[in-house]
Amino acid sequence: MNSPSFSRQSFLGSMSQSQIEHCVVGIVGLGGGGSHVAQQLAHLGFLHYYLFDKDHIEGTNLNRLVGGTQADVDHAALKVDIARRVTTSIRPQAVAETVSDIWQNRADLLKRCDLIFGNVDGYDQRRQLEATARRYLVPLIDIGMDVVVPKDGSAPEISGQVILSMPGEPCMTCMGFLNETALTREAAKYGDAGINPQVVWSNGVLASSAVGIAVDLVTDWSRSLRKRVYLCYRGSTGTLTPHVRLDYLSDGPCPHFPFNHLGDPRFRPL
Amino acid sequence: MATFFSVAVGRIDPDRLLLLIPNYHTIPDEDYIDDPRAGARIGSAAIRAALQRILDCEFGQLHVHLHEHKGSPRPSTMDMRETPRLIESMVATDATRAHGAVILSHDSAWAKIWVPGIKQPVLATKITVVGFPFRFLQR
Repeated sequence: MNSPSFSRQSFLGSMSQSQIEHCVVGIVGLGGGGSHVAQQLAHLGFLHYYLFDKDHIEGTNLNRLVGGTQADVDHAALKVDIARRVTTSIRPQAVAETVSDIWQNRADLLKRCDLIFGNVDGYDQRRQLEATARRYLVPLIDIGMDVVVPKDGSAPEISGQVILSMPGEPCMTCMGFLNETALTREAAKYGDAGINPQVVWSNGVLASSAVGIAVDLVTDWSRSLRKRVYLCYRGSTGTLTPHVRLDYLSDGPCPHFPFNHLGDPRFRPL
Repeated sequence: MATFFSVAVGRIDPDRLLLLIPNYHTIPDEDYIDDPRAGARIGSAAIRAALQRILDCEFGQLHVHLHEHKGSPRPSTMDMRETPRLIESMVATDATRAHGAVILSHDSAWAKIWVPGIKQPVLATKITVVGFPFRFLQR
């Protein structure tokens, strides 16, 4: 039953609000991307959250962290506490459990989620999160962005991605987003990440698209989301388009996460 | 209609389990037996095939059948009599895996699972169909 407060989104379907309210969401990373996601999900009526981020807000986050305030910076508030405040301010009946630690230390909580939003930094973090999600058959929606500032003085470019990694479907490695070259390059720069430029509007575009995919998945309002998603964002043109690699993916099972790797790891006698 | 699901287990906490069902195994027409008391009844060949899968694969098995109605399904008298016998065979084949039974209706489901280390079978409280689109079959 849809309440009057959701009448403007009743086109999502007669059962949509029930589906949304039953969906348990994990949001890993509550910075520029994840904070948008948390806020939008709360507006939509999602009520069950697991929020993961080990960091406190800093002054440099205020240009993009939705819900963050100068007072939060002054008090070095945890990002998870800001996200919980945002979600429960919008929906007082929402329940948000927070983890102010690296997500890997409470990866067991991800088993409780129906859907995970990955807003993590770096390729290795993505690979680890996807492996966890796949092990427990939880769809993962990954978003990320990067700003390239050429040394020759030409204009910077913002690029980003939104990927739906669905159990049984092609993973981020199948799609070519994760690969050994990128992982090796990242590992070589370990500890020398520098400052990654980030801006609120492109984070917003990517987060909004991720939320749109989630709502379609849960409500089937468009009746057209039936396969993998890999969207790439280009800031200079403001475009978000399906990645060309999608045309070349096989329909076979994902070889990187076979189904016999499901569930809790077990010891096997040799 | 009957089938078998493969099932793996994730433990959420000491009292709650996550059962993961990656695929299903259809039963050939010739492996059903004619029984006017039941909508569909599987024969020994289908059961042997399920037991063999337990030995061959990394999964337990759930026997699944459909009750042709809407709303929450409940096990019939025949289900209550026959299911424990089937589960007993599955547990005897591999007691380290979870095994059980699922009854589907047109819009809901019932599931009872026998889990290693837990004396009483566990009733499913939430069933999520992960796909395009999602479905939550609440009980």
